Parts: sequence; structure tokens; C-alpha cells
Amino acid sequence: MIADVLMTSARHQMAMVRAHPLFLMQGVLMPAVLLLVMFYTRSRPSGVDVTAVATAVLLMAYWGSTVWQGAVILVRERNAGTLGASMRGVRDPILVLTGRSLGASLAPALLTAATVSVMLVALGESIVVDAPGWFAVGLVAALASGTALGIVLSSLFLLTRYGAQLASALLYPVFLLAGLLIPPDFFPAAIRWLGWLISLRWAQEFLVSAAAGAPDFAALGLVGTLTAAYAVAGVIAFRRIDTLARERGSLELG
Amino acid sequence: MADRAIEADAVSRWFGRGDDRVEALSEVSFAVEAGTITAVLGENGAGKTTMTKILATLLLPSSGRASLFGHDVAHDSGACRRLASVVFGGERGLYAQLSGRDNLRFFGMLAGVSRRDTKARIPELLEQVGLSDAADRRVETYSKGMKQRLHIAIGFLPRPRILLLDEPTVGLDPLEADRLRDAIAVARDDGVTVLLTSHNLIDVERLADRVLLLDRGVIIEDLPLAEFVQRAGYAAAVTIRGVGDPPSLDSASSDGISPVADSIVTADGWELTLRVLEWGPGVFGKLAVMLAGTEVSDVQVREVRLEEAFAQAAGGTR
Repeated sequence: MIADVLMTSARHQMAMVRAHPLFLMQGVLMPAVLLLVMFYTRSRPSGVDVTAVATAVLLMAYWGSTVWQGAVILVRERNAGTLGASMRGVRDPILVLTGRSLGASLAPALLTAATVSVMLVALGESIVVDAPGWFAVGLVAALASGTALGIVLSSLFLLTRYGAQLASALLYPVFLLAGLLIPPDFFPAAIRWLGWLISLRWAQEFLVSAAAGAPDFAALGLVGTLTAAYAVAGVIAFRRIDTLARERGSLELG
Repeated sequence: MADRAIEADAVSRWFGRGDDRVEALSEVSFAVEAGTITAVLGENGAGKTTMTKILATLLLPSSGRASLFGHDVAHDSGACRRLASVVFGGERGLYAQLSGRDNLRFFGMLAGVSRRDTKARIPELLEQVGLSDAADRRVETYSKGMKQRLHIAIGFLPRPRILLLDEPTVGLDPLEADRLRDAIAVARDDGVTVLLTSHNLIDVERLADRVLLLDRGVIIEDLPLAEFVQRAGYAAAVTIRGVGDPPSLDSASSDGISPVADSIVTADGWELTLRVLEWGPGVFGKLAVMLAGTEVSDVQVREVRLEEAFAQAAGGTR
């Protein structure tokens, strides 16, 4: 039953994402441009570096999708007048939101992965993965982390009036602090610690290490820990929505 | 005692605090028997939607208790959600980028309908609401009436024991509205309890067994429909048209018959509307006496309308 709820919710959200005009931009244009920038504005990478660049591009496009698709699920629900139905369903609304957040992450992730693969073939490059099993685990961990982030951000965006502004503000700082564009060591020590709180940074480290054949399990552990923390924060924020809507009546559900 | 589907016991709901506090519902108590249709009437801001939201578990009561088949809406919301479907009227509340079929599929899951049942029920419901041909079109291409029909299909999908309908015929043309009323009546015949909120008094007239009248958060009437209609204070209205001099108001008044207002002068002559307190064989005789000496060209008699009872009960503000 839980699987059914998750699957139906994910499929529903994937259909919503596919129908959104941003889908192609995030899944095709953005990774293609990022990949070209990475390949042609620095010395041409080779071997494991190609994998590092490919995973960084994948995670950046993925983060963009999480912010612009997953994090705005509830705000869009409210705007469409469907939030009430989601909140008063027989199925646990948290479970439904988890499925939808997964769908919001998965659809762009699959398209982005396809774009990156096609681009690499077109550029005559190939990724090197020495520990493919652990590399796959890393991808699943990144997907789970994006799903959890989708839940927490989606709830937070609904609780504040400034969801759209927050989404814009979150995009590039996370790229930078997670070390997806430049190495995290470039940042002053005073703000470098912020990168520790971003699971994508550790996902990237784990993926690169798995590609090199020496999986960094500490990084994987941090991805798991941060994902769990995001999920707990998401549940707390979601419960807050329920309180504001049902008890205080200060949050209109639609 | 009949099975009580809906019960409200001293339900109050207020919003805000201190001086800004607004009381939307105040100590509202009523009961709805299973398998009946009860209409909630009231002007805008009377508290109808707040009451519906409380019963739909979208809002908690500030005090008091509301229950659906004995399940408390505040403490046993899961059971209440299994029992009741809510349909809010209007164009919102649907996934516009998805097809009607996709909408039904998702809302079916939310309502706890198994995938197999959803799959089996969707074609039947689409047929019932006349959307079979548009089932795979995006909802954003639907007309207002089609969206409303999709809302109704979503409400019927889980085979609820209670239907909470908020303005169900809004946006529907007369034929569609009639078809919907038939569907609601069939649901009632199947044992579904309906709480209907509508500004369209034809819905109420055709469907309701009982009427609740809310005024500024307080129930001021709770009566069977027939008794509520009697609250208009008269049984029928008689419109008389004539030529020449109109009858004077003094002569137009009789025991149990009174004019609504002075006669109106029209291009063809005059028109006078009278209210008849109680209809009976003697009324024609009284009318003949009242209208003696005037030249009458037309007489029309109609039963009192629900809207007249509503206007009377709500203080004549409509």
C-alpha cells in the first residue's frame, strides 16, 4: 500500500514536471551548457576527472530541478486550490508529498542523465567508473537526499511568503558551497563550514571516489545523516502547516 | 432513532485573537440523518463554508464537537476522511496540466481507493458526468461546466457515505445542473447522506429534505423543507393584470389576502400581486369581491418559492 501511494504520487508529479515549461530547460539546456562550460573553460579533463565533471553537472542540474520543481510542490498546490485535497486525503499526506518529491527529482534526473550521456558521446568522452555498484548507490543516495530536501523546502516555502525569492537565493550558493563549480577550499574558512550541511557536496565526493574505485564511506554516511536530518526537518515543517491550517486557520489550503 | 450521519454539538469557530477575533460559527448544533439531503443556506459570510471545512477535516472547531457517523472530526479525522467526500465548487482544485483521467487517478489514490477500483470506476464515472470524450484532454482546455463535472466525479469516486457539496451547480448550464441534481438524488436513494451548500435555491428546492439557515454564524432555522417554505408567511402569490382603473389597496386587502405593494401601471394597464395566506376554495370568491368593478385581463397563481421563504427568514435582506 505504501509503495502504491509512493508510486502513484511519483508518477503524478513526473507527469506534472514533464508538462512544465522548465522541464526541458532544466533537463537538457542547463546540463548541456554546464558541461560545455566545464569542458571548454578549463584544461580538458580526462579519465576520472570526466566522471567528476559529469557527476557535478548531473548534481547541479538535479539541484536546480529540486529547487524549481520539488520545493514548490506545495506552493503550486495552494495556487491551484488542490492543497486542501492533498492534506485531507485518506493517505498520509507526508507519504504523498514524499512520493511527489521523489517524482519531482526523478523525472529531471533521468532526463539530465540522458543529456549528459548524449553530450559525452558527442564530445567523444566517456566516464570511468571503477566501482559501479557503489557509484549506483551514490546516485540513489543523491536522489533520496533531493527528495528529502524537496519535502523540507516545499514545506518551508509554503510557510513563508518569499518562496520564489528563497528558491533563487538557494540555487547558486549551493552550487558553490557544495563544491560543484569550484573546490570548497576556495572559500574563506568562516563560510566553508556551510558546505558541510549540503548533502550534495558529500554525494559528489562519494560518487567521485566510487568512480576512482575507492569509495569514501564517510562521505556516504554524511549523505545519509544529512538526508535523515532534512527528512526530520521536513516532517516538522509539514506538521506546522497542518497546525496553521487546521488549528489556527491562518493558512488557506486552497 | 434514525442513524445520525452528521452531528454538530455547540460547534464554534473563531479566527484571530483579541480585538481582531472574528467568530465565524457560534455554538452551532444540528444533526443530519443518514440517507437524507440537508441544505445549508445563508448569506455570504454566514459561516456555511467554515462549517463545511470543519466537517471535511480541513479546519478544527475552536470549541464544541462535530462528528461523522460518530467519528470525531478533530480526533478521528482519518475515519472521517474515509466516510466523506467534499466537493467545493469553482474552477480551481484540479491539476490543469493533466488530463481528466489523470486527475481522477490521483484523487482516487488520495481518497484511499485501490488502484484496481479506480481503474474500474473511472470510465463509469466519466460516462456518468459526460466527460468520456474529453477524458484524455488537459483539464486546462475544459469549460467551466466540464471542470465542475470533473469535481463531481472526483467526489463520487470513493463511493462516500457522506457527500459535502459546496455550490455543486455553479458554472453548469441548466441541463447539466439538472443532470447533476439527478445524480445527487440517486446517491441519496443509494443511502448517501448529503450536506448541500448552495446559493442556487433550485438545488435546494429540488433536492433538500431539510434546511438549515445560518445567519452570522448562528443557526436560526432548522426545519424540513416544506415547513421552511411556510416561513414565507403565505402559501401562494396571485398576479392579476387588468385594464382601466386599478383596484385601490384598501379594496385589494381581504381576510388572508394582502397586496405585496401598490399596483404597477404598465403599458397595457395595471398589474397587482397579492399574497394568499392559505390557499383554498374560498380564495376565488374573495378575489372576485376585491376585484369587483375592475376589468381583469389575466390571473396567474403560483406556489410560494423557496427564495421568498429565505428572504423572509433571513430578514428580508434579499
